[in-house]
Amino acid sequence: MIAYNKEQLDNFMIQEAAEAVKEKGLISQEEWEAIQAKHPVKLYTPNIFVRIGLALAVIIGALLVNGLFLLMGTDLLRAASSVAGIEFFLGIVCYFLLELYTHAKPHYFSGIDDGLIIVTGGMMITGFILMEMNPTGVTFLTMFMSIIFFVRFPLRWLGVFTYGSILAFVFAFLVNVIPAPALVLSIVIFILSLATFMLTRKVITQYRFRYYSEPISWVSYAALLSLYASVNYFVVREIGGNMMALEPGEALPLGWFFWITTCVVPLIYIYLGITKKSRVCLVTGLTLVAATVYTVRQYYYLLPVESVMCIAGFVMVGIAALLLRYLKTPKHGFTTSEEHIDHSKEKSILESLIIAQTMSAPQTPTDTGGFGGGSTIGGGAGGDY
Amino acid sequence: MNTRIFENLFDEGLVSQESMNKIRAAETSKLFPVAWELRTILYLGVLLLSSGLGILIYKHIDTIGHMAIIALIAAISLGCFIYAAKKKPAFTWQKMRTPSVLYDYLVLLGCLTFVSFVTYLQAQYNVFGTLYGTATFIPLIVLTFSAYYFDHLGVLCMAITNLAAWMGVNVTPRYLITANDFSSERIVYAGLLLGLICIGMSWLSKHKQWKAHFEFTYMNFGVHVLYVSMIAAHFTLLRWPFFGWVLMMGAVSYLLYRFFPVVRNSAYFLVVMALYIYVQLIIIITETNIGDIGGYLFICLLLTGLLIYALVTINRKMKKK
Repeated sequence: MIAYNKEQLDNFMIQEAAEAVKEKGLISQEEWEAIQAKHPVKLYTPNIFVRIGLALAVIIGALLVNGLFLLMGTDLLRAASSVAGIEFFLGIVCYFLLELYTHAKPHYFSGIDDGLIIVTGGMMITGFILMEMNPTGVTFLTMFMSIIFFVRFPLRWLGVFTYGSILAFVFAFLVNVIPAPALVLSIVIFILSLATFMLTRKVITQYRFRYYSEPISWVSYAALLSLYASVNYFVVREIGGNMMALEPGEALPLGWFFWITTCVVPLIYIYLGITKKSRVCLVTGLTLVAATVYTVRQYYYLLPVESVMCIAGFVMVGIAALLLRYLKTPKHGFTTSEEHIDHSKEKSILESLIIAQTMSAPQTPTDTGGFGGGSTIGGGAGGDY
Repeated sequence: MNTRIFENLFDEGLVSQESMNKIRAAETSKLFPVAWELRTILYLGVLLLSSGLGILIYKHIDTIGHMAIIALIAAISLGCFIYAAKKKPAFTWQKMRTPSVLYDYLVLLGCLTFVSFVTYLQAQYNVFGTLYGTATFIPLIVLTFSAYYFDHLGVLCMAITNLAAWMGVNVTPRYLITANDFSSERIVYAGLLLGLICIGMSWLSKHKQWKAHFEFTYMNFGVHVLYVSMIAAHFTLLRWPFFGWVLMMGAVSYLLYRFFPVVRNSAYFLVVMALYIYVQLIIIITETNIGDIGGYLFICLLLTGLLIYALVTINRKMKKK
């Protein structure tokens, strides 16, 4: 099923796990070296920045090749179906390359595999769209392809994408084929999300699904988010309201129910996160509190936005400061010890970029003249083919 | 999952009984770390609070009175600085151990409110008159001093953006390209100079041991500002024949690689530099108007191949270390 070499993947996981315990001093240097010698990793897994660069280069390269092919046959390709033919052909070539790279040269998370997956999928879907397939069909094929890709190439982003494509297909099917009422739609998505979440929790701990456990844990975040979206008043009102042709400002039927779920679901997540020690639930719950505040503000004007910001900021600083003090010595299995924070170089680079971005930059003084004008260098590599 | 992996290793005889017991014990008594979550909440809280206060004050200006507001902002800022100064261990040029998590965020809040304090004074009372330079120069001094004195990377980023603002360039990552009018020669020169200053500061940090851990942040700003300015220079400054500015970029990249271990040992910088050169080459090819679109695509494809080759080489170099 999986395209990557299983023995190599196992070795990869063993070395990762062993390195983690070595850093905590649980195994000795000799043991670490013995493990490395017995389970060597020959996979080509470059640094994350190289991976992103390679993925970009592969995508751009494939688009250029695509352009060359279309150019070569400009005269032949009057009909959309023959263009679609070219897309299918190139898609198959890319898939072939993908298999080649993951087998012959054991690429694993190298950016080349990411790029080729995106390109293959993109070309196939473009082909189907050119064949004038209906939207439900396109979402079905997208889902079908992503599931196959995911089973063969369990990448994290692909897991989330696959889950999204399943949701998109279910949505398109219910809306276009059955014409289901909005409430049914909400219930179906709710059940689907809940089932997915339960399933992911099961799968993650199973040893035989070990290659999938990382990407699947990302899916569980997505499942919790879609579960909330399916019962969030704002989402149901805006999407459902369109389908039921509600007037703007008209309330949603069963609105009280959705108001309760909008407010209660994040709290349930946080509660589960604390009692079950589940990071997925805790982080999503905390994030969704903000979504709840936003939803309420969308319909009820309680306070001006700056007051909400001040109060929220004050409460957040207060709670965090109190908890940091309270948990100075670990209590109830929680710790604020800094040693668990990932201090890797990549993380600290990202953090410093985020800080630089969010730090309110002072206005550049106006006497230097001419600000806010258009940029002359926007184009870059992206827009030129 | 982890225990299972080590049980297998134990069966193979690669892990001793003693280590296995340690791993099992660690696995069962695992604490749930929440430091990262709490830090994020604190950080967002500080940001919300400072910007919320800003808007609140702005809207209620006529009812509260300016003096009261200025006094309030000054009090918050001063309070934070006093707290930080009290908690702070003795100053060193090395990396300082943070006394507490709260300390970091109060230093940040103090600096944020200080900047609003100065901006407010200028906007309301025009304290610095038309000397706009002074209005940004004073925060620049205070921020730079705070960054070193309190040893805070976030404040250092603020100080660098402030230096840029003082020189007339906007350098927040999102606005580096969009908010600057690079068709103005002045901005391009300012950008080139700023990039060089940052790279110079990075060098000083490392070699004089002036907070050696600031090296990376300086270099990060320096590389991006310098390379974007060099791309802009291609359009606005003297148009050197053919590949003048690309050659310049190549030369700069070589020098950075040769003399800065922080660049040489970081895949991040090498990838970023490779991408900038690639973009610059594509721009030049697009400009030269080859006429034959097939040829154009083909050259671009060739360049993309070179980019892949460069990236693979970078990775190989990194692996060796």
